[in-house]
Amino acid sequence: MLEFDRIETPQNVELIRPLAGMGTRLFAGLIDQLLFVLVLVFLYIFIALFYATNPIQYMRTMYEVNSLLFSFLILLFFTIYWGYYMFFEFFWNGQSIGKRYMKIRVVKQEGGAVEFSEIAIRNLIRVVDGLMFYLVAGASMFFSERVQRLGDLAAGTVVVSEQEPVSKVSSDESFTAVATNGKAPAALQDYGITPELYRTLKSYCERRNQFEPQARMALLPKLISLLLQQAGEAMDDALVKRLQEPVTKDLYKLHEEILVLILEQIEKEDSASPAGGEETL
Amino acid sequence: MSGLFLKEREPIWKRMESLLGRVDKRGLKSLTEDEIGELAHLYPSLVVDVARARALNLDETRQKYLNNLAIRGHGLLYRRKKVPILYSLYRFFRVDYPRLFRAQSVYLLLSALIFFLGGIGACASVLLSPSNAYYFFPASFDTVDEDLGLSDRDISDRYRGNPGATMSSGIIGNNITVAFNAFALGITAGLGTLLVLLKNGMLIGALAGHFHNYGLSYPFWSFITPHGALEIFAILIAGAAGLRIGHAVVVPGSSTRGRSLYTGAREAVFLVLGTIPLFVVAGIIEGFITPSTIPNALKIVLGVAAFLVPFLYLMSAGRTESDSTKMVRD
Repeated sequence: MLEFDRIETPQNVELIRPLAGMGTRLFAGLIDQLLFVLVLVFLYIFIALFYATNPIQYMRTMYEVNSLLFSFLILLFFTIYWGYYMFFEFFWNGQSIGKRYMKIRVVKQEGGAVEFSEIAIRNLIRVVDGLMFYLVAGASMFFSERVQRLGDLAAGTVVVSEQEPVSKVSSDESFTAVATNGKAPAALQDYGITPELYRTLKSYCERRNQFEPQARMALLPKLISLLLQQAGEAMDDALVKRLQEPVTKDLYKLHEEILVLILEQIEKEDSASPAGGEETL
Repeated sequence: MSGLFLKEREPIWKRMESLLGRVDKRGLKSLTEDEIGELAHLYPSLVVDVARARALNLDETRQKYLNNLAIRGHGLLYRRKKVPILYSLYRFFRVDYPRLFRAQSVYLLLSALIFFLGGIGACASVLLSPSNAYYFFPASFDTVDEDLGLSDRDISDRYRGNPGATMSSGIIGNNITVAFNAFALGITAGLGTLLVLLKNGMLIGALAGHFHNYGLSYPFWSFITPHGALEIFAILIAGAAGLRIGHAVVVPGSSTRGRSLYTGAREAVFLVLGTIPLFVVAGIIEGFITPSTIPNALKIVLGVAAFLVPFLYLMSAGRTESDSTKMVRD
């Protein structure tokens, strides 16, 4: 089960597409089912009442009119029963009411908007997915690669999440400020460190515990030599000496600590110096 | 380097974002023709920006933002061409459906074989031992013996009291539900479809045997045929659609199972959707002609015709159509 899916664009660039998780889909499904069942139950009660209050003794003309209305209600019932999802997903480009509320959408597996055939397939097979209170769908979504229920597998569709990324707020701010995570580049310049290296170091330090020691020991010397190359002169001699020591099993964590220290120092100087500075990015 | 990139491209992203935002909120119609052109023009360069951002190792938030923007644009731009619904319906029944019907005829034969095997088996069983009939009737089926009591009258007389329109619509809805279920159950490797076909075949067979045992064969068939011939034909087509999916699941051939299922379902779905008008006609017959007082012989002739006309149409239509069409419409 993946949370992300990749699609190839005609420009030969892979886009990463977030898939809707089972929880989100369950919630969207609950909203739809609630609406759907509510309307159907209402219709059903209406039909039943009609039947009860419409015995054959009615006047002939009344009877004919009523029976036409009654048969219309029956047809409406079946149309909603089979057509609810198909109607909305067709006219709302892959969204039902619940899906729209949860900001998820049905799309083709290879990317692009769903076609009628796919909408029909996934919603006809819904009756099998819906067996045992959608347990069949749940099992299918759990075991499939792209969180697909049986109807999705047959139709070649996936349900994607269209929730705004977390960075929505930051997209309103100035881009250049966000590029360095809010740090004025002035301090970096003092050291002679390029923003690229700074970001690499930063993300290394933040995520170092997710890597195997071997990988860290392989990466560290490269990072250190780059750092010394760019900022060796501006740095404290003692630190430089420490960093120049060979990266071994016992010492690599110390190296990492030093890197963290240097980054902290840069950030500290940053907040001390007047914000803004020149645009180096 | 990335600074220049951002400086140059940022306004374009902003523009793209505002256009896409408007489409999300108010639909594609809220854009002018020029703006749609602009969107289509900006999109490819945005996708390239995604790649450049990756190459420049831009910060993750920025990369996500660009990727998301491109995904939204992709979904908007790569969509089906809108075809007039009425025209495509006309074209479907005029050309595509008959062709699809003939292309999938193997499954129809298989479907018929299963149905009639169940029917003949149940009928034989009831003829040999009349009490077996009750094994085949559902518990709610209490009308059978009431019908027998009307031996000197028409079976369909029983239904004359009901208003035709109401009966028709109920029957149409139920039959379409059975057909759609037979299609959907194809995904259980065809087993569910097989059961639906067997069950319906056995019911008809058992009823036929039961009425024969009481010497009521003629009234029975004159009751069943007017609507039943067409109804069974349509159910068999739906069964064929289910078996097509089942086949795709069980025997994927050289493609993957998922791919095979996808291809199979695309062929099958139109096969089953095309049965809707057949059920509508059959339902109207069952509501208005079956219970009517016209002579039994005429009812049988009408019933056979109601099956033969669409059958022959599906066998012959769309053969000479010169313009090239796809088997399954997109």
